[in-house]
Amino acid sequence: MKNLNLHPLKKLEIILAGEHQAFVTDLLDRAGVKGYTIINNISGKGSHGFHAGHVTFNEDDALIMIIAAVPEELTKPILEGLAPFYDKHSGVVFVSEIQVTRVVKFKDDSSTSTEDTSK
Amino acid sequence: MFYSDGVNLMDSKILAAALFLPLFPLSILFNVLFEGLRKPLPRIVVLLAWPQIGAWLLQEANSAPPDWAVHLALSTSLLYGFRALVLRELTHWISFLAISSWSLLWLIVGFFDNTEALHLLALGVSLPLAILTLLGGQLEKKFGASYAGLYNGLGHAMPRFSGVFVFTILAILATPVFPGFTTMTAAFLEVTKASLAGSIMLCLIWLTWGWAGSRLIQGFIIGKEHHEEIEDISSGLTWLYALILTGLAAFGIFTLGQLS
Amino acid sequence: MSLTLGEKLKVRSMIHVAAEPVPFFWPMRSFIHHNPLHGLEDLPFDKATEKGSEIFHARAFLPRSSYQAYLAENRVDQAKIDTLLEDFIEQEDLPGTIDGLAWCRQLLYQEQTPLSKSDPLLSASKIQAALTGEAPPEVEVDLEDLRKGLHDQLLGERPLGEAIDDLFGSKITADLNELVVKSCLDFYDEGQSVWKMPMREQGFFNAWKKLAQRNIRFTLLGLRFQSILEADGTAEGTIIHVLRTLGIEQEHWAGYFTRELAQLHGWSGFIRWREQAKDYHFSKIFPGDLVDFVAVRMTLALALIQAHGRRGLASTVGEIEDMINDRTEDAFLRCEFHKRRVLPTMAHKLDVAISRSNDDLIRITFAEYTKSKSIELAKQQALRLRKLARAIDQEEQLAALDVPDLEKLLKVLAKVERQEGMFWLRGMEQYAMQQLGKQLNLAPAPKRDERPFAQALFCIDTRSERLRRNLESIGDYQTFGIAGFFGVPVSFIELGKGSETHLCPVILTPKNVVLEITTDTLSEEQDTLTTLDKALHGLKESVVSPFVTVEAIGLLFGLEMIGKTLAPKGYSKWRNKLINSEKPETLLLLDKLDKEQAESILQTVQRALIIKGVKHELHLAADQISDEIVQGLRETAMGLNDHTSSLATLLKIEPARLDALIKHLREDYRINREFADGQMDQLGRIGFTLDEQANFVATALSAIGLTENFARFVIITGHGSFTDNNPYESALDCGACGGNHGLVSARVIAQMANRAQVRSRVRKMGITIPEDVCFIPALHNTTTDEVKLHDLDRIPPSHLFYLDWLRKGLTGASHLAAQERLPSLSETHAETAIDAFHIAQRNSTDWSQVRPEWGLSRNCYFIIGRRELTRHHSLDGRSFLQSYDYRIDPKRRLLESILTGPLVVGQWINMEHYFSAVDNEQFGSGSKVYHNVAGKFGVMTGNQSDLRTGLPAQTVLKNGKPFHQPVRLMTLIEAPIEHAQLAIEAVSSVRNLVRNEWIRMMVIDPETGMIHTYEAGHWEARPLDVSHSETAKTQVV
Repeated sequence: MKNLNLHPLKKLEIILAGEHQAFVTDLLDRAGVKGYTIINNISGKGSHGFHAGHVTFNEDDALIMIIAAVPEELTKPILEGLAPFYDKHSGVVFVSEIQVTRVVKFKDDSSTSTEDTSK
Repeated sequence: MFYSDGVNLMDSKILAAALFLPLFPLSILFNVLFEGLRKPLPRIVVLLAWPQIGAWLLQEANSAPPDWAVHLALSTSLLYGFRALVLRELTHWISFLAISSWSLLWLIVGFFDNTEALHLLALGVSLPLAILTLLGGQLEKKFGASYAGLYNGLGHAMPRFSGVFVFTILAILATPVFPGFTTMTAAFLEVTKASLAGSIMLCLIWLTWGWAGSRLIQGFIIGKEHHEEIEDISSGLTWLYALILTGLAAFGIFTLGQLS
Repeated sequence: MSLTLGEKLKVRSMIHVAAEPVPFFWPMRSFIHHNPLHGLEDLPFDKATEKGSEIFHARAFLPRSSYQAYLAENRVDQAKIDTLLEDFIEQEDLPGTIDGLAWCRQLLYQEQTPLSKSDPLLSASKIQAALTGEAPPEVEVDLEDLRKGLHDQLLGERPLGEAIDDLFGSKITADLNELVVKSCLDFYDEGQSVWKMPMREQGFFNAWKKLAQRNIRFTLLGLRFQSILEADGTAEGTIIHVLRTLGIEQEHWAGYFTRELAQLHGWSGFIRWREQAKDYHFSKIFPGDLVDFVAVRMTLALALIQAHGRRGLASTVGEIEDMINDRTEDAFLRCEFHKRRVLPTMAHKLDVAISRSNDDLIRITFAEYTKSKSIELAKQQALRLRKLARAIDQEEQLAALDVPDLEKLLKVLAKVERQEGMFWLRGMEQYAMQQLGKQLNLAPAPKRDERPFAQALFCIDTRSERLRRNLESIGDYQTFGIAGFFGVPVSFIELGKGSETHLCPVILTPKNVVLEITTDTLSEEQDTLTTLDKALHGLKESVVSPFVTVEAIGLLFGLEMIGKTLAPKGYSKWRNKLINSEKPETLLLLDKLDKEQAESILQTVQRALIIKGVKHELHLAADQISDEIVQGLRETAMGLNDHTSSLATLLKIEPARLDALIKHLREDYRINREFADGQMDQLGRIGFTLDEQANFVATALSAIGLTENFARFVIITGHGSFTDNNPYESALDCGACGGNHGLVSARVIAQMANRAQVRSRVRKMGITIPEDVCFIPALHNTTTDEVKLHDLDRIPPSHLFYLDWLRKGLTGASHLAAQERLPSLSETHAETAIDAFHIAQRNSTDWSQVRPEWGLSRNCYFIIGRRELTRHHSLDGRSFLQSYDYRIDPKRRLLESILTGPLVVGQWINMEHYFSAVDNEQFGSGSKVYHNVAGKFGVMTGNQSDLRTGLPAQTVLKNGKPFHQPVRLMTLIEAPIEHAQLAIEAVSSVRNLVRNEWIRMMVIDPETGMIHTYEAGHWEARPLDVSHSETAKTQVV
C-alpha cells in the first residue's frame, strides 16, 4: 500500500425522523456532499420523550441517522441550511473532527472551491 | 310659448321632447330627478310616464326631427350605454339605460304608419326597467342597498329572485322577443338606409348594453357567498313576475308584427 | 448579487418547513384519504383547527344551524354541552346579575346565526346607548387604533398582493392564482395535453423563465420579467430578490411562504408529494420542486404588482405602510369598501370618495361613515341582545348594565362563540360513545361443538360491517377484520404492465415484488382490440379530431353514449362480451427464485431478444437462426467468450457487419454485463422466502386471534369498487392497499397459506392449520356488494360439494347488504333484496351516476377487539372492525402494529371525511358535476382552478346537508387498561394522536367491566351498563 496520508474533515451526524430523509439527503446533495451513510431504526430520548426503534407498519415514524464527512467549508452552509428545519422538528446534529485517507471521495480538488449544485 | 309660426312650434316641441326622451345634456335633469326619488313606486311612475310624454310630443310635431337631433340621439345613447358599464348602483344603472334606450325612439319616429306604435314601444322599453326597479326595491329592503359586487351569490341564496332578475335584464338588453328588440330592429332598419356609421354606432350601443347587463349579473348573481338569513321571494310572487315577463314577451312579438 | 451556498440552502429549508401544513396530494389514480391538517397534528385538535382555518381560509366546524338540526334529531348529548358550558362560565368574569349559563344556552341552542361581531367601529358604549334608547355618545374614533388594526390586517405575513387588492380593489391575487395554475398545468402535465411544453427536462423554474419572456399573454397583461429574472438566475436567488424588492422583512418570510403556498394548496400539495415520491417517473424526467414553484409564483407576483405600480397603485410594503400612517382615513375607507364590509347605504358614497381621491371629501366621508356605521352596528347588536335577553327573562338586567359590565358580557359571548364548535363536537361524540357502550357485549363467545362452516377475513373498512353481519346471520360463518393488505406489503407487477404498484398503506414501502403470469398464450387479437380502444380514447383528446372523426366514426361514439345512458347494465354486458376484456387465468409468482432459476429466466429473455434483433437487422427468418448462433451472439455480447470468427461464418456476413450487430445488441437490446447484473438484482426482489411467508401467515392469523378451530373454508376477502366515469374511483378502493383493490393481496396470502411447507413452519410457531383447511381469495365489490371467489382451481375436489352452499351464502348476504344500503343511496324503492342488488349493479355501470356508493361516509367508530364484542348489534356500516384477542398478545406487539398501521389509516380516512363535510368548498373538492380532469392526475373545478383536494360534495353531503356526521374517530380497544395504555405509550404517533385528541380513545377492560375514556388530558373510568357487564371471569371461554 502507498503512504497513508490522513486528511482532516468534519463529520456530521444528523438524527431526525425517517419521514424527512429525502429532504436532508437532497440538501446534502445540493451542498455538494459526495456521499453519506444512513442508519435506520435507531431509538433514543430527547425533549419529546423516548422514541422506540422498530415499528412494524410505519416507516415515517422511525428515527434515522445520516452520517456525512464534509470539507470544513461546507459545514457552516449545511448547518445554516438545516437551521430552519430544526426550528420545527426534533432531532440533532453533531459536528466532530475526523480524518480520512482517501480524501478524493469526500472533497473536490482543493484548488477549486465547492460550487453550489442548485439547478 | 306657442307661436303661430310653424317652425318655432316645432322647435319648442322638439326641445321639450328632448327633455322627455332625454338627449344630452337635458338628460342630466332626468337623472337628477330619478335619483332624487327614494321610493320604488314614484320611480316606476316616472319610468312609465316620462317617455310617453316625449313620444306624444314627437308625434305632435308635424315634421320629422331634424338631423342634428337624430345624431344627438345616437350619441346620447352610446354615451350612456358606455357609462353604464362601470355603474354598480342599480338605480343609476336603470336611469342610464333608460336614457340610452329612449334615445333610440328618436330614430324611429317616422318608421311606423300608425301613431300608437311609438307609444307602445316606449311602454315596452320602460316596463322591464320598472320591473327591475321593483326588484331593486326588494334588494334594498333585504340588504340595505342595491349595489353590485357588495353581496354576490344571489343565484345560490335566492334562486327564484335571480331567475326573474336575469330575465328582466335580458328584456332591458333588447333580447328577442322583448319589445326592446323591436325598437332596436326598427332603428337598424331606419338607420342603415341613411348611413353606415349610424349602423356601426347602433352595433356599439347594443354591445355596451349587453356588456353592462352581464357585469350587473356578475355583480349580483354569480358567486359562492352564502346568505343564510335571507329568504327568497315567495313562489306566488315568482309566478306573478313570470306572468308579467311572458306578457312582455308576447307584447314584443305583437310589436314585431307591427314592423311589417 | 449572488447568494451564498448557506443562504440558498436556508431558503430551501425554510420553504420545506413552511410547506408542511399543506397536506400531500396523491395523484388520483391512487387516491389516498389523508388528514388535510396532517401537518398540524403536533398541535392539539382545537388549536390545530384554529390555525388551519386561518391558513386555508376555511371553516373547521359546521355552522351552528347544522348542529342545532342534529340536536333536534337527538343525536347530541345536550347534558354534556351544558356541563361544558357550566365549566366554561365558572372560569369567566361576569357581572353578578347576569345568568351566564342561560345566556350561553340560549345563544347556542336557539340563535341560528352567530351574534358576536368584531369591528373596530363597534363599541360597548354605543351598544349600551342603543339599549337604553339614549343618544349615542360622541366618541372620537381613535386613529391610532385604526392604524394598528390596518397594520395587522394588511401587513406582516400577508402576501402583498392581497393587501393591494384590499386597498385598491385590484384582482392581483386572482390573476396570480390563474397564471400560476396555468404554468403548473403546462409543466406538470402527464400526457393529457397534445401540445407539450418544451424544455421541461431543465426543471420547472428554468423552463418557465425561458418561456415567460416570450409569452404573449403575459405581455398583454403588462408583465415585465427582464429585471426580475436578471437579478439572479437561480430559483432561490429570485425568491430572495422578490422578497427584498417588495420590502418583506426576513422574520416574516416563513409565514409568508406558508400563506402563498396555502393559496393554491392543491398544487402545493401535489408538488410537495411529487418531490419526495421515490421512483415517480415524471418526477425523474421533469423535475420541479416546491422551491421552483415558489420562485415562479413570486416572480409572477412581483411582475403583477409592478404592473399595477406603474398605474399608480402602491407596490411595496413601505408604500403601504406610509399610506396607513399618513392617509389613515383613506386606507380605512378603502379596506371597508373593497373587503365588502361597508355599510350598504353608504356604499356609493364611499365609492365616489375613494375614486375622487380628494382629501377633504375623504375626511368628510370618513366622519360620516364612522358615525353611521357605528350607530347602525350598535343598533343591530342591541336588537339581538335584547331579543336574547327577553327569551331568558334577563331584559331588565341587561338594560341595567353599565358599560364595563356590558363589555364583560360581550367578551364572554364572543369567547363562547369561538369555542362553540368544540362544545358541539364533544356533545355529538358523547352521544355516539354512549350509543356504542349500550351495544357492547363482554360475554365471551359461546363454546362451539363443531367447526364453523366457513371463516371469512374482511378488511377493516366500514363497508365490510354490513356484509359481515348479514353473512353471520345467514349461516354458521365466523368473520374477522384485518387490514386490507393482510399484513403483506407487495409491489405488484400486473400481467402485461411494465410498472410496479405498491399494494400497502402509503406509510410503507414494499420490499418484495410479485409477478402475475399466465399459462395462456396472449393472443394477437387482444392487442388489436386494446389498440383500437386506446386509439378511440386518444382521439377524444386530439385537437383536430372532432372535425375529422365525426363523420368517420362519430356513429360509434354515439352508439356508446346512447347505450351507456339508456341501458347501462345491458350495454356493458354486451360490450364486455364483444371485446372480451376478461383476463386469462393467471398465477402469482411469489416464491423466491434461486440463482439458477433467475439466470435461466435471464438467459431465456436474452435469447428472445437476440432472435428478434437478428431478425430485424439481418432479415433472417426464425428457422434460419440456430441455437448455436444465438448462444454465440449472447456470449460475445456479454463478454464471456469471443465467437466472432465462427459467427461470421455461420451467419455468412462480413466481420464489420457482425461487429455492428454485436454493438447493436449490446447498446439497443441491452445484452450486456451491467444491465444483466441489474436485472438479476431485480429478479432477486421477486418473491418471499418460505420463512417470510410463514411469518406473514402466522402474524396475520395471530393478529386476528384465529389460531385454532379452523373451518374448512377460510375466505380471504379483499375489496374494491368498480364504477364508470369516476375520477374518484380510487378513493372508493382499499386505502390499506394504497388505493387499489385488495384481490391481489388476498390471493397472495391465500396462496402462501395453502402451501404445505408454509403450514409446517407455521405449526412450529404454534399455530396448527389442519390439512383440509382451504384458503380461498375473494373480492368484495363494494358498489354492488357482490363477493366473487377466485382461484377456484386450487380447491381440493373434496370441498367442491360445499362450494355451492358457500356461494349461496355469500350471494344471500350480498343481497341483504345491498338492501340495507339502498334507501340512503337512491330514491328507487326495492321490494326485495334481489331487486336492491340489481339496482346496485346498475349503479356501478351507470356513467352518469355521481354517487355510485356512499363509500366510507358516516364512519365514526374503530373497534379493536373480538367480533363477539359487537356481533349482536348493527353498527350501520359506521365502524372499522379490527379483530384482536389480547390474551394471545402478552407482549403487545400485535396491538402496537394495529395501532401504528390500521388505526392511523382509519384516522386519516376519518379526518378526510370530517373536513370535507364541514367545509366542502375549501377542504373538499366541491361538486363532481363541475370537475374536469387535469393533467391526468387531479381534478379542477370548471375551466381552470386549483387542484381540488379532499372528497367531493356527493360523497359527504346529501341535498346540501352533511350526510357524513363530522365527528372524530372513536376508537375502542378491548383489553385490560394497563395493557392498552402501555401499547399506546409505546407508539409515538398514536400517543400524540390520543394526547392531542385527534381521535377519541376508549378502552373496555373485559376483566373489570370498566370502560375508560380519555378526555381532556386524563382517563375517566366508569362501569359499563349493568345489563351487559357479564365479565370474562364468570364464563368459561
